[in-house]
Amino acid sequence: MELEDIMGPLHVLVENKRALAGSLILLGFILMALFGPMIFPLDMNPKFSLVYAPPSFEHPLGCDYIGVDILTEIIWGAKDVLTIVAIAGIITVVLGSIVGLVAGYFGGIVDLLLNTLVDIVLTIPGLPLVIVLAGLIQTRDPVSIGLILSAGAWAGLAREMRSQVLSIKERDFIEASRAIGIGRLSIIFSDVLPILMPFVGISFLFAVVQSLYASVALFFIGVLPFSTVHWGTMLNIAIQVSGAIFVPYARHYVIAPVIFIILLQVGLILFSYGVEDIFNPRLRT
Amino acid sequence: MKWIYRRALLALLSIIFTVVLTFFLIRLMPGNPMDYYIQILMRTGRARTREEAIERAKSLMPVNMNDPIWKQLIDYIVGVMHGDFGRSISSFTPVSEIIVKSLPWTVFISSVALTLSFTIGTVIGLVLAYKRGTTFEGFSVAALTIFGAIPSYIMAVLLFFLLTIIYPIFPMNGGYDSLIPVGFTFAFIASVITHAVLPVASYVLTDFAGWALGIRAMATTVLGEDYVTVAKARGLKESTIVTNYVGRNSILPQFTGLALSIGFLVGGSPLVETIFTYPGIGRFFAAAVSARDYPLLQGLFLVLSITVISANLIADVLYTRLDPRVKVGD
Repeated sequence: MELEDIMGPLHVLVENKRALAGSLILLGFILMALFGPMIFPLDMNPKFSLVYAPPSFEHPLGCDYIGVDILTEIIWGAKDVLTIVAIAGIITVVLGSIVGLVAGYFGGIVDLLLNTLVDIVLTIPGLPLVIVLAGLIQTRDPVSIGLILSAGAWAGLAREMRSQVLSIKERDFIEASRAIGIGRLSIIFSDVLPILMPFVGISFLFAVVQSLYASVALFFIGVLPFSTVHWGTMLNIAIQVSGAIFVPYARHYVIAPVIFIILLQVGLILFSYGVEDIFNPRLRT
Repeated sequence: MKWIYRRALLALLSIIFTVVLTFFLIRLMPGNPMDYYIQILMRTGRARTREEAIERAKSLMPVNMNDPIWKQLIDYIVGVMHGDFGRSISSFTPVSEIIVKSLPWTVFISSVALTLSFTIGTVIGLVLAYKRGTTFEGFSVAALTIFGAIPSYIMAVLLFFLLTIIYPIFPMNGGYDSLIPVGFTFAFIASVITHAVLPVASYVLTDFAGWALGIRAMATTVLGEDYVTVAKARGLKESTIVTNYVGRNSILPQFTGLALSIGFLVGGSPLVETIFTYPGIGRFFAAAVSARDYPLLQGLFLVLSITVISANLIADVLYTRLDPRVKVGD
């Protein structure tokens, strides 16, 4: 890759205020998830003298209902939150892209079957489906959680992907590849897919936004027993399990996960809108 | 006409798919839901002997667990078609009764919320499109993006925390004050309204932003159309141009979004309703999941899906009538 290839998008990124703000927030969270746990060891042992301790120099965000430092929980939680949404985003994009590419390029009976399946899945309400699946499957494995989360999201992408492929497959160079006898799968993955990569990238970001919304919801209602420091679980404990929300001196415990959830969601949305601006200049107004 | 048949067939397929999916999901789980219920009955002492427990468990679902699986599936489908979804494990009430009781509450708050956020969002979006290029517009769009990014259940937590606990202005839970007798009295209606304010606000404060940004983008495109330039050249009043020319033409795509919100109208949000312990369908849904109340979960999910699928069908058909420019088919 030439230097210009990297500097080009970076330049636009800096020009676009939304993308810049979003990427700075995201970068902060990624660094926090990667290096935070190495710097701040998590000690889940109850310390009764510190129950609901207010923010102080040693505990910048105070302590929770068993006296564990909230900032450390948030930092360790960031790792869980980001891992789950990244896996869910990847699975959604891979599944949606493959179905869309195959349906669009193969056409005929394959397209009819896949497209009907997509239509059916699209009509089933997404979040309830995810909640039902999570309630039934009860898993702690991040990949399985990613699969559950993508169940309500892959179909929308598959449909968009299919219509993109339909317009691309009539272009001359695809025609040329077909004429010299290159196989269909190899045309799909080496000729069609590369053109759609920006679209796939943006779809990945939007899938991540969606799965953040859904995954926090799942942990919040207590369906998934995956992690005790996931921000959704922290909210669940603060509001429904420990009743901290009703304790006047425990307010910092409720507010901390709320603020970090909002901050991450805002960062992700700003970044994905910004990236969309960069790749679809027509949308710039 | 042919398109409508295809669309209806698709809706029917979707409903069958959902029914079969819910049936197999529950049957394929490790641990039979009936065994689970029998255990609960025995443990809590609600059934003294194992036979009594099995007998009670049988009346939970319109299906005989000893039959071969294909016969269970057929019995299940026939039951569903008769509106028989079995009984809730946790309360032993018929699932259909729970649905009939909780659905009106959800439809009440979510339709009020949807109307408010649609109206507020449309007005704000049109104003922003007209003020495009100004600093005011830039700040407003940034603010709307942030508001739109907040999940409604997080907004619900914030409102609950701020306005029922820190400043106890609004009631904390339920659909109405249980001390006031139910009826068409001023006190009862006032109580229903004050209980609905915060759940409705949680939806409106997060959803209006999406509507506003949507119509702003659309109206910005419409403002560049020739007929708007002509209208300006004819010296028409700005207010006339905004409402009659821009507004009317940019609102149509918003209706597609409205049709997609039908699922929300009947399902509400399990989380928002749980936070305010609102007696709607969403709260029962969340409760059924955490209590492993499978017949209730199955019934609620089915009713929700069937309503959404049929409503989407109706919306699609109406939409092609509303806008002749819509291309029918693929």
